[in-house]
Amino acid sequence: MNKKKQKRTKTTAEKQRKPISVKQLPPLKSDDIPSRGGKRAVKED
Amino acid sequence: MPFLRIDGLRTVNQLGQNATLFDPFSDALALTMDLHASADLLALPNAAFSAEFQIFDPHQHKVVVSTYWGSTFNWGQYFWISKGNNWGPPSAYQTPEQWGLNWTANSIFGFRGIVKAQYIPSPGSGWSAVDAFDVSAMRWFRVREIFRL
Repeated sequence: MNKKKQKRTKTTAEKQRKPISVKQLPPLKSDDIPSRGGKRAVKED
Repeated sequence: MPFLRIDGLRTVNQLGQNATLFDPFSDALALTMDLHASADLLALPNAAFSAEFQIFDPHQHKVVVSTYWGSTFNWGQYFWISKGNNWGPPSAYQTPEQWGLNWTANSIFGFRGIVKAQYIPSPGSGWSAVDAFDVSAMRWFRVREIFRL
């Protein structure tokens, strides 16, 4: 059994497909409007 | 399944009241979100969130204020975050005027919150999105029709 692997030719749709570009998420941003935060008095899971 | 939820929105004045009517010049307006993050979200490496506080003008059908808070999770699963000084001194209050609102044509505005979570799967890999986000309903409030001469 010496089957030679045949190379599949790309379809037109595959040829036209553009590579996917992965855009990284930007860094976390905050502005200078005064802010506050804190723990809420709720029973945790 | 990780989640990040907005449990509620509050528009808080200088008395700590969740108010819906504000004097544009003297009342503080702090935009506050009550958030709930799942335990498995907090367990992700370098889990963080980004929150956007929007003020919406229904007359123009437009977001007129957008302010951001990005942070790691510092307060456990249940926490609140707030933008705008309502703790004083009075000269430092973030009033509707300070927010930059224009209440000549319309005096009713909506506060909407948008939150989304992200994490760093491995050192140096950068941020990855998590399927954990929320967009709140609108909390409507009114600015008194008082104008400077």
